[in-house]
Amino acid sequence: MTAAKPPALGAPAGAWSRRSRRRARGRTIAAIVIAVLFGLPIAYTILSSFKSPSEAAGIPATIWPQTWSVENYLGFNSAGVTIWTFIANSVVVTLMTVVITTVASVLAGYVFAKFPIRFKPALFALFVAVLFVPYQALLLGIFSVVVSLHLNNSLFGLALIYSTFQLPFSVFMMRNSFESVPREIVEAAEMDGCGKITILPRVLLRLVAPGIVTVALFAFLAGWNEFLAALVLLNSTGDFTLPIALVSARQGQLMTIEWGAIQAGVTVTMVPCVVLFMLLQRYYVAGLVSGSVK
Amino acid sequence: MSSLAHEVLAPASPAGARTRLLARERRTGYLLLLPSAVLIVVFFLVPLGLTVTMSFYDWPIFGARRPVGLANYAEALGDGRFWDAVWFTTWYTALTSVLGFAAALGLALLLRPRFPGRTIARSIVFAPVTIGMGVAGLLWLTLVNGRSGVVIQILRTLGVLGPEQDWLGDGGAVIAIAVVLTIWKTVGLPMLVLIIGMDSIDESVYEAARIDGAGPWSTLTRITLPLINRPLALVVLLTVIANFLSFDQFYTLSRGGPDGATVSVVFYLYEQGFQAFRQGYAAAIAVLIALLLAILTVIQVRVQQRSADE
Repeated sequence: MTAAKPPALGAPAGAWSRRSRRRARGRTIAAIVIAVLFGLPIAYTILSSFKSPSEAAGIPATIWPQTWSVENYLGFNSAGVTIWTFIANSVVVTLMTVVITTVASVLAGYVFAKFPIRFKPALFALFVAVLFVPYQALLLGIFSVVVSLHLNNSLFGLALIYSTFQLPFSVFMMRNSFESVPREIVEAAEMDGCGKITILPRVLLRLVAPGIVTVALFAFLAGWNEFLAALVLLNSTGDFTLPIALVSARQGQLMTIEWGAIQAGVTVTMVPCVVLFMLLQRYYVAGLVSGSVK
Repeated sequence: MSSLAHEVLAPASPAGARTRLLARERRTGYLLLLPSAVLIVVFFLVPLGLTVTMSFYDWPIFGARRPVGLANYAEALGDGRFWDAVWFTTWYTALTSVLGFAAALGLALLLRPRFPGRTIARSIVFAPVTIGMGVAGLLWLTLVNGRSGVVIQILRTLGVLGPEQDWLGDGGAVIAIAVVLTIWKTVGLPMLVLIIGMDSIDESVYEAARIDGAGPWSTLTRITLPLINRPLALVVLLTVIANFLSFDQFYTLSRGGPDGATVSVVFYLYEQGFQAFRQGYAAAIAVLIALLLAILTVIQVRVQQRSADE
């Protein structure tokens, strides 16, 4: 195959391709080692969650479960509340966060892209300003507001907070999405008698759908994983989301820690995120690009 | 038909109708902006004002609040535990950010070119980014704890650790674990941004460098990195800020221990505000943290601008 080509300068063509092939193989081997190192903690935790509780806590540690069991999942509880409650709480908070973030940012992004409102730059700057104050530093104020609105110990209150701090990124994303819709499409629809509101569900939503998926994905990960605000705002075990329930299970009863149960809880909490990312990678990267290139 | 209507209507409609239409569109715009504006006001602006106000008060959960002027700030500046937290957070941030960036750069160079298995390798390295930091801390706790931890058992078998040695009692070891787990969990993000940036550089630029006889190192430092200056600056800034605000992994892995060795500034804020319930004092600490971050950001942007100008 290479013999037909004239030899390249410096090295014969055959040697060149052999060297680059060898380099590609070296790269593959290095990549496999790296991937194993990164994937092993996740894989080991998932496998361990299916061991029997005594095997999960046992010495010496095993890699492959000797007997497969879901006992760790059933045994995961905190003050008598089972894992199902925590899963349900996390799902509820996350779904509310996704819906509120998506609806609010689609509307705001539409306005910033296509409406002739006054003080547009100043209003947009107000949204961006949220990025410049870390929410951790605002937690005391947020706590006071939430208490005076009687939203403490409320998953809805938590979702409102998460949505607020997703807004800068989400509104920015949706504004860019609506801006990339050609003006002719909006004008044509208006001439057909569509108002600016009716055109949104009928024509525009389909055109900005990739942006919506990106916004929803980031809102999902934020709502599902957030830790500090949930720790501060939720007081009763029945309201705990998964990350907080995991911590209270870590404390354990009578100072013993059920390691297998924690591994089961960690698995339940991390697997949805990893799977969702694998399925929607394209949208995640789109969010990164629009965020970093600006 | 619609274009006909347009033709007929357009010249006939007086300027007044157009301003009325504009005013109506404007009103619709404000209305659509309302949900997000309410959220920003209620959960950002009001808490911001409240936190700043609280910092000038003695503000217990129950009982009377009274203004104390700058007393909370004076106390914070003389509080040894606060300065310990600032010092720990600063060098932890520096260490994790530098090591993390080096790792991200190495991974980006390794996983950028086309080779079999590239997509899956990238996905696996990136997967931990999608996991929560608190959960990641617990995951690593199950791996390194002195009883069932598989890592510690391997090290004991190899004779690196004694049979009864438990490194969760050793401050230095806990910090080392925190650094490793943080880099494991976060490095995928800067790696991906670097790869995206490198992919955006035209292949002819590399070719020109090769013809000029540039080696891999000078190609990297003289061409690749300067050309992706902007995403690079952003990613470094975000990494530093995120590390400075670390809380979750210290809370789940070590509870700030042993002996307060892993109490970060946000951890100290949490302790004062939500465990000791000294809300006024904690608010002053919160304001100081926000100011520290603002200074950090300004310095970093300045340095980056200067290096970009050169």
